[in-house]
Amino acid sequence: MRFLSLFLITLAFAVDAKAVKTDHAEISIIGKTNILSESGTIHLGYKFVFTPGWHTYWINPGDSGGPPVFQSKQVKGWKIDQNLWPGPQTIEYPPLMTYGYENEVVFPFNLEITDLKDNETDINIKFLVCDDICVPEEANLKLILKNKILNIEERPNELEKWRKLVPVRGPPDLNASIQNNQIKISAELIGRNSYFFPYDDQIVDFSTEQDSLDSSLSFTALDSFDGKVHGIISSQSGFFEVNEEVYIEQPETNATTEGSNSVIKDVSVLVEKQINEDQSFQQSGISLMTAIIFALLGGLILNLMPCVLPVIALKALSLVKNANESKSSVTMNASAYVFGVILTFMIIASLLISLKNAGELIGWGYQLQSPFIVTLLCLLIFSIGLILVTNIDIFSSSTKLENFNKGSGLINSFFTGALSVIVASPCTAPFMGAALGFALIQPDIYSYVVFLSLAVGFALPYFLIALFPSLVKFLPQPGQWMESIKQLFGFMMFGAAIWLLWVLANQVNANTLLIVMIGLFLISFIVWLQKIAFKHLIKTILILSFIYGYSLSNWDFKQNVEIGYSLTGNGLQESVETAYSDNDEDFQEGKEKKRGGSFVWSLEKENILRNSNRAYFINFTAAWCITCQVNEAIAFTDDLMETFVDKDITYLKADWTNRNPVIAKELEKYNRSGLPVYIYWNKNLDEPMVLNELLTEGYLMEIINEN
Amino acid sequence: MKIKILVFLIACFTIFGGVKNDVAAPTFTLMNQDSEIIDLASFKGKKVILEWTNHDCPFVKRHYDTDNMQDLQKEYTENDVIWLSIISSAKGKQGYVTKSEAKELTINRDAQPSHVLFDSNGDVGKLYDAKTTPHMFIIDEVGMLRYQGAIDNLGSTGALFSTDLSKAKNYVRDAMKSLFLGEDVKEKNTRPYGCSVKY
Repeated sequence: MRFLSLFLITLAFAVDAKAVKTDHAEISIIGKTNILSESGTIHLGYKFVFTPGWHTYWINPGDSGGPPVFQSKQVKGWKIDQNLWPGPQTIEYPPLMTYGYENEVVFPFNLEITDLKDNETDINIKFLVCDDICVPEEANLKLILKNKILNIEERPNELEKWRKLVPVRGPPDLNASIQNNQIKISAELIGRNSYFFPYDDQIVDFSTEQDSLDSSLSFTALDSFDGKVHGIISSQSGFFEVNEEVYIEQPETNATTEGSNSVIKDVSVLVEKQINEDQSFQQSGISLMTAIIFALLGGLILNLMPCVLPVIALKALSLVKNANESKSSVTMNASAYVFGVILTFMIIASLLISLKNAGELIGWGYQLQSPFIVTLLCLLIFSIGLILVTNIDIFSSSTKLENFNKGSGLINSFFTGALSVIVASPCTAPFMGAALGFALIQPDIYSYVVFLSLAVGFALPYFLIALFPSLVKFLPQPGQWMESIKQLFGFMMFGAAIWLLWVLANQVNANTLLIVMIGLFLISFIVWLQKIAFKHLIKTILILSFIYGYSLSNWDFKQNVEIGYSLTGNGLQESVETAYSDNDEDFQEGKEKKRGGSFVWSLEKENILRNSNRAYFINFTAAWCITCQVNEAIAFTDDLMETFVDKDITYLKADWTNRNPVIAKELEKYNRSGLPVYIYWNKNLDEPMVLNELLTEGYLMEIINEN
Repeated sequence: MKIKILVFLIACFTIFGGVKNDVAAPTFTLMNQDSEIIDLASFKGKKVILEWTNHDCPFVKRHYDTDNMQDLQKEYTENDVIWLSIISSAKGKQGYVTKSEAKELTINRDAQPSHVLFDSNGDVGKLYDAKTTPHMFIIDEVGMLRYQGAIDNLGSTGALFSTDLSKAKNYVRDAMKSLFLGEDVKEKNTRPYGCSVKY
């Protein structure tokens, strides 16, 4: 009986503690725990959940609006402190600027109680809730303590999260100066996404652009500025207070600029500035110089990527074989190769740029979103594999790989260069992602420069050989080992072909896949045929390739509708829905999928997570992105997945195997156009973090544990 | 993109420059509720009060529902002051009204402006840097701007909706008192509060 009455009391409280609903908001009081064991200070918070898209204001609302007002009835034994103000976000209504909280906010406050006797008080909250228009609303809450139970919602994590957003004291290195009307605030903590929220309207026009750099923030002061900077600044690690008298800085003398260096600097600063202005995500913003260096390095490393290595190695082998030839011949061959590489890169660059200018959302690896191109690459790579393994020569003696007489050798070298670029296209080497991302958002001329750097980087080893032919002597002596290595590379090519088939299997249906495999069959048939009937080979090839080409051209290369995102609005909607349905419910319920599970990425989900301050990790991947596959195999271990679950990090996967403008757009936000891209965010970070392209478990663990 | 930003910045500095106290107020012409062209310059010799308004804005509503605004209008228009209620809401946005709707509002609310002026493209609002509704400006007989800002001191405390407005410190009334006495306005620039102007 006693148990029952206790239950009834608790039930009654549950009703009391229910959130108060107004037209556009739901207000409740939250806390760590509702069972009080001792008197003292209790951390609580007023929680507002608004109609999606609506907001209320910070203590300084900006150009319009007003902050909420909390009033509580004084009761004996209880003291309710003034509420705290978590750092706000900017809410723009050009030409006006306001500061507030969209969708949700918790204003933390303290309740001080001297004893645990039953007690209660009334709290009245008046607030404005706005989207384009504003509505004043009011809520009356009752805070009741009965039998040591407080009628609040137990939400310790949420309260803690918002308490962390309350500005803390400024760091010791905080400094404010003014020069020619420009206020400059500097501190190590200030980053590129930092923003200064003034406490009053005498310091800076709210809609003034603020120029935030690493460790400093500057903006134009108002005439009414009285010399004291008073407000808060957002940083990677939350908000901090600024309450500084400015010191007046003397104008600098420009005597110490460093000659020609300064020109380059200026250009890169200019470019950098432009990126900063163009992009909302600035961490990956790099300068032109950096992009060029990254492209060179990326190109160089591309040589070692599994899809390129065999082709490149062949070239190296032929160089070894011809080490004894005249230096000029080596130079010529290497030059022809370099020329082939650069020309092919430039053709690809032109194609990408013209597509970009035509309004397509493109990226590196973009071509592999076309099943047709994947098919051609697959057939090509399979053929190379066969040639390597059987050491035969199909078309003419001039392509015989070890045949290096001058004329045909040069053409051979040239095409080997072109071929290596083509087979390199599925690979994104480290550094390349950043450089290409940069290239594709720049004016055309910069794009070409970056692509050229990439090509030069890729061809660098041969470039050096062309310049210093005697280097060839340092390569190992030719011998039987070369045959074995070549055959081994042949099998690597088969591996690459298998991978491309798998990519294709993700894009098309079984019937289309079948015809591609018939193509592989025909190729191997031709190879066998040439052994027994060389004379009729050309004729046979012509007939077979005609038949095959005809059937290919008639084949429906449409992508699978279930996974594919068609470009029409309707189709997109449909496929998004399909993608949702598989795990959207789990997601909505905040359920943890079984370990190792991921959710299909969508912008909405990301926003939901962010608004509720839950950490997330996004893996932008595609079947055709081999670096992605390698990373997934190496870094995404069971341990990591368990850490994700333990730390409540939601793992989102964005699959770009097929064309998807939403994902392409999202990548653009991070200044990227190719894969892989890994994003990590938690509440301590202002903006999502773009991680390295090559992952290890240790690196990921470090990131997760340190942030 | 760069050019866009530049244009935006220039636009900010030129169009959205705002007005300074104790210098000549920029003149403008706007159409009133009776389709007459009203020229600010034609009111030389009279004091002029500009009131930015939006009848659906809760802050404005509060001032009209309590007759606070009407009382002010009455008090000054009876003393030969020109009261201009300016609507800068863009077409389709909150507060936008047609001329006949404006007339109806004036009658229903028993408002007493000299003219209701329509600025739906926002030029005059941006010229004066009008940010909120209400946002008040006072111009003297020689065309000098003497006051700009809030109507009273209830904005910063957020107490507008619970306080008796007649007990508030009304900046407009204080400024007008000083002007009528030939004195300098003490608080000539306060922070406006209310809904954003719906440009």
